[in-house]
Amino acid sequence: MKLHILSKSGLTVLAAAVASTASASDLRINGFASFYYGNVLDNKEIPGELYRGYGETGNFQYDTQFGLQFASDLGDGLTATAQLTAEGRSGYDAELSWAFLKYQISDEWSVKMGRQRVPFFLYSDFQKVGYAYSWVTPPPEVYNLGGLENTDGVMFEHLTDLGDFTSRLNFLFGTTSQTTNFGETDLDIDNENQVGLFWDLAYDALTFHLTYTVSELTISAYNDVGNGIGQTLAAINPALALTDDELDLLTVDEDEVTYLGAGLSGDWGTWVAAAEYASIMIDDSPTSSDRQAWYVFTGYRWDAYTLGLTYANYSSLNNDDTIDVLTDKNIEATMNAAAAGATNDVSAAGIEQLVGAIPDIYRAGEESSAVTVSLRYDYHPAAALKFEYTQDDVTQKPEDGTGEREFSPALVRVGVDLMF
Amino acid sequence: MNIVKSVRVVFSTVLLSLFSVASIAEISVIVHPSNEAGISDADIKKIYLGKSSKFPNDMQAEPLDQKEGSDVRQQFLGAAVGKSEPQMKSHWSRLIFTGKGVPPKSLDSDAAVIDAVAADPKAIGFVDSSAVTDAVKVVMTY
Repeated sequence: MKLHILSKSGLTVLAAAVASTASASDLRINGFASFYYGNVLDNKEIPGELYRGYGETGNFQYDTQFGLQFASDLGDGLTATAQLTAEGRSGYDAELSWAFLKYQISDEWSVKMGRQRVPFFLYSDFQKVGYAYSWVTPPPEVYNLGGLENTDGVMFEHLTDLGDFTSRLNFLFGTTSQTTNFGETDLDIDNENQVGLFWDLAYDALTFHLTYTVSELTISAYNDVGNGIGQTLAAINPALALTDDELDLLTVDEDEVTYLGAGLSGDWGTWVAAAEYASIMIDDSPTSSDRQAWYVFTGYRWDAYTLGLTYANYSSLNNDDTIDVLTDKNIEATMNAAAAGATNDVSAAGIEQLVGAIPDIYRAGEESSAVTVSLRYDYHPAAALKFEYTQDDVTQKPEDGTGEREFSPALVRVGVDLMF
Repeated sequence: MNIVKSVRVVFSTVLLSLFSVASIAEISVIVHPSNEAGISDADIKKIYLGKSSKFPNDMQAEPLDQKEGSDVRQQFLGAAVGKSEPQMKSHWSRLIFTGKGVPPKSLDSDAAVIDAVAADPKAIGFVDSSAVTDAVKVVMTY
């Protein structure tokens, strides 16, 4: 599997980093870890299904993780960094999340090459380091990018002081292909020719963040279904064959993706606050063609405690054009009839499988709004104890009339974040 | 009622004096005697938060920290940086894990900080004012 290849190459990089330190420079090792238990309360509406990885039976794995970062200063502005992570949600397979070389070109310019985090949002850079913020995880409505958090590429950074402001501009060019776990399926995702511009402006207690990226996305599993539907329709009756434009609406094949994000955060010691907005648009994509998410957070600190309140909103609607293709061509009914009339068991089963995938892929719109109360207690210089309660209101397939479902899961998570 | 009020006043005065005895010792921020950079409150804060790696005269700055949990550190962080120890740790965790910075090197005592600052023109440190010697230059007190 891919992960094993990754961890093998991770070991090679680490071995190289360690070997180089043995000769001269200093190797810094830092680590972070999270240990969480979570449990969904009152989830009668969706028995047996998981919400954010949790069910009504408690789970110790999903948000539990361990990370080690190795940084080696090679001198003359060159640093090598590798980060190994093992997450409970992936069966603790070690993964080389980061492996990059950083070169300080001048006082203001630096460049990073290799596998690195994409600084999409305010907390993206340290998204996995629970110790760095007061939530258990940053709001997934905005932060869950389905495996595209990291990329392989080159990023230039320009850091400068403008009076009392500090400005950081990042330019990214990257191409990555990764396997992401969605529920019970692994999806191969290619995100190619990603060009990104990220800007942070910090003034006193305030930080402003802006993101703009475009890339070409390919999800092969979606294409298998889309192409399968096209071929089946053509076989049933050549008059039903899909045009290229129609096929485009049923596949994710080098579809252009645009990410936009804006955020503002403030830390005044006693009070902390943050708000972020994210939009993902995928051209001619069957799903998530227009995904929007935002949250507002405020926290109050006293002694060793931080009490936080977060409201998060998410909306990912069906692509109307895709739904039009499905209905205009009467695709589901036509294919069902073909399956019923098929003399061959194999083709009948194949057609049923394709039709069965339609609700999951093409009619998968979702809206949600969640309130989260979080409490962080810094009981030890290197460890924080956290308790978090999330009440979500989810509507799936809100536009499809039939099949709409609403549910309101409540999730409790409690655990510890460490850094060392 | 008057008695209650005066008892309260006496009580809070006693509390106040207890607090002041417990926590108020003067902190000095020190640099090498050759350091001519005019260092302000804001510069000290920026250097210790990793937002700047230089003195205002563009010379490289090497900040020195003291032991976690020590009175002098807690007081310096509160007064000069405006953060508690956990907040400082959380702040640095963000920089460490993004490769954007390395936290100030931590030394064990006022004497160790004074020795290190006296030996390094780029160093900046903080100590209890009572420990300051001629080998270093005081640029700020809190």
